[in-house]
Amino acid sequence: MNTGHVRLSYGEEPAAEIWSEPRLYFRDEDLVIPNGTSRTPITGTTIGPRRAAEELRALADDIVGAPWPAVGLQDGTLILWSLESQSDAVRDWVLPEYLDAMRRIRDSGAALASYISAPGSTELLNTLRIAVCDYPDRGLAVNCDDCRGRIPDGHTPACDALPPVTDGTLLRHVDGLAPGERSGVFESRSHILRTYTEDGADLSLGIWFFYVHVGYEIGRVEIPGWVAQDRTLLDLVHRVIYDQAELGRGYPVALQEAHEAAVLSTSDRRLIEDTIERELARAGITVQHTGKDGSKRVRFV
Amino acid sequence: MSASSEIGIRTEERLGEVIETSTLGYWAESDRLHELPPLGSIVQAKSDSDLTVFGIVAFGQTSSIDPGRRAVRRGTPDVADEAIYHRHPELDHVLRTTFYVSAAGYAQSGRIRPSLPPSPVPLHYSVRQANVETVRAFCARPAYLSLMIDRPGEVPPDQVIAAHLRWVDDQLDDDHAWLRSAARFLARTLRRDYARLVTILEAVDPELA
Repeated sequence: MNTGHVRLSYGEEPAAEIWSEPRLYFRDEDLVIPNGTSRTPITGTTIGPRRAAEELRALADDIVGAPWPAVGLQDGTLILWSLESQSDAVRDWVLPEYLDAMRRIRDSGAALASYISAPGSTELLNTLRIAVCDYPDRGLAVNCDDCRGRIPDGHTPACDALPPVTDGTLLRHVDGLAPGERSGVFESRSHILRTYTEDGADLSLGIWFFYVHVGYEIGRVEIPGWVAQDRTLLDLVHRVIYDQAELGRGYPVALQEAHEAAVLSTSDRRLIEDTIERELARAGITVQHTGKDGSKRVRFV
Repeated sequence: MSASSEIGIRTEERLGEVIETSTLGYWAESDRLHELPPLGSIVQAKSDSDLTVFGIVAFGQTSSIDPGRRAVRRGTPDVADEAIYHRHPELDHVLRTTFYVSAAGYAQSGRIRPSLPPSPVPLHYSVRQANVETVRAFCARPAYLSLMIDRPGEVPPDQVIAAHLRWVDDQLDDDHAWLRSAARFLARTLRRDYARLVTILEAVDPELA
């Protein structure tokens, strides 16, 4: 796991630090998720949220003690959607560290935000769909499954009057969001967030979002409750994201450089694999490659 | 020779570090962005052993640290030049200044030789500016200039030699005595190529030709 870090300071004495923190997980206990007496192997789908937790932990380590005002920026989403379909063991393996990092950032007085470029989300559109739904007019509860299920019988859902577009398109063409402007701030209703807030006990850890026109596109910004409910921090996040995107020609420069610091090129990857194989060979362990992998390693015509 | 016995021993200001090396010369990365030794100036790099390689700066550039990422325009009518670096503190980390040094001679066992070094400068070793005593000692015999005449590079060799003659002349401040002897040496070496000699001398000083 290779985490890219960027610390940018602006103002009288601008400064930058860019580094990456590579960690190799190889011990038996590194490769399984503790689950009572059984051990669940880590897979491609469980490593994603775990990486998010480690990234947020790294961000908390970096930002605690930073001079005010400070904004911690994360690439992508703060909502760990993928945990919704995971077992309690996987959640327990990810969430405590994730939420602990959020609390540490909150308690440091800093703001936290994540940025999604070209977001495909439709939460605002879905809200509008409920607003135009004709079920309540007929004294029924909104029930999309029931409504959609009647389409084969010739039924046309009332919300089909709304085009199938993203929130970004809606804001750009209907709301007329202009460069520099942000949308309203909304609270996400994702199920997984109930675990963030301990079923509403600590709303400061719930996740809210707004859209911002950064000049090149409309991006989605996700923020925790403590930022959403503090006008100073909210305005700070809005300004910083807009400025960062301007400096980065459309995408926040801090995230751009953190990505560059973290990304492994094909040759980096090969070097790491070769080093691991060499070390294993010294311990008398040989690595068996698959036929397909071998054909990629030694290419011939 | 008291001067030559000190060659390579004195600690001069570090300019940068060798990042690619060969018998003919080496690429170095400057310690500070945008700062590099002038074209034609003499620099030195010392090996672990009793070997100091002298070289002439033959090319310099500042570019992206990653060949896959090109530098792009960052300025606006309101934010230009130095202010761009103020607005983009990360640029110091994603850009770098590099220069190429043509090997021109070496010192070993207290003797200076105007020929290619027995081995390349070690990778990652320091490149330092040569001080005026070193310049005087190294340039005392201009035979090393013949090494430079046919050296291909990014910059035409005549321009490197002309820049070198101007730089040494400035350093020595000897009423052009060294420059005259170097010009005589070049006149002998290029006796069959008068046009080229004139090009070099004109580049040093239009009045010389």
